Amino acid sequence: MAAALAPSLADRERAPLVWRLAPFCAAALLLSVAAPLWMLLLAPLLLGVPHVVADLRYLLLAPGTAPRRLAWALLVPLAALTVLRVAVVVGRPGWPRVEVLLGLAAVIVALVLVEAAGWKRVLAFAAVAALAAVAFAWPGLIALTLGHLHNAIAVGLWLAWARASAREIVASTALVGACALAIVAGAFDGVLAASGAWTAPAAGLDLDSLAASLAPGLGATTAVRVVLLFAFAQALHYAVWLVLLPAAARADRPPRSLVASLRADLGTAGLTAALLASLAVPLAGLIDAAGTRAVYLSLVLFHGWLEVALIARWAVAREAAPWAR
Amino acid sequence: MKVLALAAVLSLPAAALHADVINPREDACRGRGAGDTCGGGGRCVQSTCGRNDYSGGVPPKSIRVSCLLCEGPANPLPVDTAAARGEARTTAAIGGAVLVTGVLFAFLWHRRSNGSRARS
Repeated sequence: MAAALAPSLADRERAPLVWRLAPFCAAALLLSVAAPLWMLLLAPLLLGVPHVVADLRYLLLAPGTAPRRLAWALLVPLAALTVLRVAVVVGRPGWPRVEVLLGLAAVIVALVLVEAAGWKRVLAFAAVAALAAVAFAWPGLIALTLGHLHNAIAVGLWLAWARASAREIVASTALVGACALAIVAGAFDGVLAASGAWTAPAAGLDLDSLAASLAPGLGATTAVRVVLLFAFAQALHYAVWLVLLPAAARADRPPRSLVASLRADLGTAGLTAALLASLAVPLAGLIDAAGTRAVYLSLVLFHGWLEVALIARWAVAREAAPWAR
Repeated sequence: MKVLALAAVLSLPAAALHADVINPREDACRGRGAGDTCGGGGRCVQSTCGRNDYSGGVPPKSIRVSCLLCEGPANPLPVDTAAARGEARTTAAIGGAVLVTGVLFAFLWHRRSNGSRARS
């Protein structure tokens, strides 16, 4: 009996990745269409810190993920970037060009501290130089690009980590792409108009301010669709970081309890800090939800650059990726 | 070639983004006070700006609210030209994000395709 069951269980374990992604994709789309403003408000407040912790844990801190010297070296530009963000939060003038250059400095650090073929390194540095030139001319453009890009990056990292086959990559991309295209094409405009989901601000977070930050300069109809697209993509990227990617990573590690695993990766002090921050943000949100969301998003800009830096590293040296072991 | 074709297909949504409107002079004064410089020798001055009021749903009503606008030599561009540039930048940013996503996924797909062929 057990022998007869074994293949089917194994098969189920190996179900195409798109079937694991589909429920989260559907949930992200449904929730975003049902209550886009509340999704954009509550998701960062409740899931933001845990997802940044997962980001740091799986990309940098877990034993064997990245060399210690890389973690320390990345800390310098990304901490400096966060200090600049703190300054903006407390009302000091922003330094957008310096912020982008610090993000690019993290990418350079990640590229320098890896062994890679010379031509790959040259190509990567040329791309960084081009980005630096664009950043110097239009720093806001790079920040906006990163804001939209980093949601999609999560799905790509999960596919890489889960060792998706070429067919699974195409299927997953088609699924997410179809949802995104439906949103951009206006498939949900009528539903949203009928439900009045955009009309009342969500605890101080209103559509006009979201459109101004996520789609500045675009016409009203297009801007609203871009905001909805961001709500969907953000929800999906939280699902990836908190459920799908940890599941893929667990398959490569010895089984242990969640707390033991977190303590092994973050250390006791790190785990305590993560728990406190995970509680502090929602609690602060009870006092000023939209303000807390804005502060949180401002302070965690570093993790987008961390992802870009490590992807650049793995692009030039695939054996350096955690899933290559 | 296949990678380029796939990247192009995945980047199609970028072409769906288009639009009009805005006032980038207001954006130049975001986070600044009246009288502050706003790049190139301009100053932020009190004025009125257009806003979209979504309380009645989409499409929104246009309303005017008090705001700061960048005025002076910092603003050599006619508003229409500046608006077109603001729109172009946002389209470039979002289009760029979609394009990079397409390239990354195509790159991943290409590696896995080669890996499968190498194993078989």
